Amino acid sequence: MTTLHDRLVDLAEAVPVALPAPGLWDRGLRYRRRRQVGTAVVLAVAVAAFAALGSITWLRSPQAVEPAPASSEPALPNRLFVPSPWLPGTRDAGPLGTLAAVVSSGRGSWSGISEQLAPVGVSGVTGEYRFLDLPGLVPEPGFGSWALAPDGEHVAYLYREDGADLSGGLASGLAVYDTSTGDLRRHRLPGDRGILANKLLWAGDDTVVLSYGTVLSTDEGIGTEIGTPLAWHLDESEPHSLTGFPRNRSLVGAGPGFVVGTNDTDRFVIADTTTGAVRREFRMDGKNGWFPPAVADTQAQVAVMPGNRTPNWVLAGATAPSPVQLHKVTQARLTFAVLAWADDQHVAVRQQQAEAGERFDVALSDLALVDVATGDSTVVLHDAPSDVQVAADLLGQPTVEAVEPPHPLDPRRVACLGVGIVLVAGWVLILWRRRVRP
Amino acid sequence: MSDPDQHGFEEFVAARRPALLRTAYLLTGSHADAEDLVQLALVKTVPHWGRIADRPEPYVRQVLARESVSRWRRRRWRETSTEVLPERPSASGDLDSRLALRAALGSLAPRQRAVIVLRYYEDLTEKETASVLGIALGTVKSQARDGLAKLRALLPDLELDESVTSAAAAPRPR
Repeated sequence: MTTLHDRLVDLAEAVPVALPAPGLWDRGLRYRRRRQVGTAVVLAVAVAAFAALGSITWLRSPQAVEPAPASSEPALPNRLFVPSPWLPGTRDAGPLGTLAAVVSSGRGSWSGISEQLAPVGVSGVTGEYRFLDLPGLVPEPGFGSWALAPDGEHVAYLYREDGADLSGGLASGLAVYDTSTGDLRRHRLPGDRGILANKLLWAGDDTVVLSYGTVLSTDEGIGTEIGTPLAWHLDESEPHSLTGFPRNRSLVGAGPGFVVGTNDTDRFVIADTTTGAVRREFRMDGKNGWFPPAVADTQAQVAVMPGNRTPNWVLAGATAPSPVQLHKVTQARLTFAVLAWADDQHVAVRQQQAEAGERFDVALSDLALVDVATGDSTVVLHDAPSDVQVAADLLGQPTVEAVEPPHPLDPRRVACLGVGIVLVAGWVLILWRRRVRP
Repeated sequence: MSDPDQHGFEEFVAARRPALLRTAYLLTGSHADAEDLVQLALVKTVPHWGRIADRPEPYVRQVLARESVSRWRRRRWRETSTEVLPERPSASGDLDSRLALRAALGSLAPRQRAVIVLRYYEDLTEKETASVLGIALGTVKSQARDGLAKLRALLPDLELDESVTSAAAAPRPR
């Protein structure tokens, strides 16, 4: 009996003598060349795919979009665009300089696009768009945490200190960002449980005003103590309280050197931003109350919308004598909000155009200047985003042709495509080298 | 590549081709297929000759064994497997014994056959077999065990070398 090994040897010995096999070496060389050519083709295709991906990425990057030639004077663009979540931020790309407007957008990161809106600045000089990196900005799902100064040189916002145990819209204090230098000034407000802001406004180019409540722990739980409004003149080191501001009035507006308060029905006061002392009082009779009015820089005129519905018409009148004699500026109910006075004769409003018919939608509205004497309306920004804040000082100036900002590719997709190209190229290469026959 | 490389390659082919053909015959069960397989392995060796010229045989045998498995994979769509061998030779005489062994080897899956040939003809260890075929050690063990079981069923008089089969012949773990 023989083992398996012996039987295999015996079987193998039965193989006939091998015939000569000429040309194996040359066949091998040809085989090598085919493999090399195939490998080169696959690598070339992969390199071309990478180059195409790189080109598309670059073409859609901020570097590839030529900003408008820098103008000598800041100006509003004639339209605003929806910003890409993948635009650069001021932390990486630097400050934008004087801003014409601030819009908002969810910001993209490797973990996705944030649902919390972040401010995007629009340069008044070059028209560039850039996320404003405001350190500690209170993450609020709305757009009430920041305010653009009328001259576009500063953005005031509510900040939260690192590690502060605060939630919702609670903030630690008030901060001011310089849009030209990127400098940041902060003022922490008292109260370990934070503050809840009510209004954040600019009273002129250099004074930011805040009305807020301080969150307190009481025997009955958590409560809010309404504080005296603050005013921060930027030439001073810290804000001061407007101690003279009437406690029974809430802050609803501001202008250069003054703030506007109301009893939430028909009585209004104009107070200075030094002490809060009341300089002027007026009454506006109206059975349905009023939306926040806009008081002209001269404090002599007021424009307002009746509080019964939106859209509505715009009324205007002199603040003295009181009660104010209001007259209809616009005949049609097409205005969603009265924003600010551009000059003594024009007031900026958010307005829908008459041809839109009955389809009232704030998202379809324009930012327009209305002549309070004639009611004539001039559109400044078509389809202005509902959350836009414009530099009010630029409202009366001519607009410039807008430059569409870049729409960078989602870097996660770029990375996935890059990895995909490598994987596919590797797979094709392996498959080719295995399959190719000598 | 230079002429000395070609010269060395042709010397190797002249010296070792018969031995390679014998292994290829066991792997394929056909003279023509064995000839094709050896030529393929040698041609595929040429691009790497500069690197392996000092000791080419292990590389050539690796290509030979792997190609025998992959060739079957490429061909299997046009082949049919059957449970019963077309001719079941009697177990009398040397020729009959060879035919029976060839038929039994032919009934094994290509990888099983390659494992059996490398382990029991080339006398490679399990680890070496795994390395040559590019498979896991556990796969070598299971393929050897299953292959031997099938051979035993087809060749009742088969005797195994105890030193080689101790691991492979162990019962399948439950």
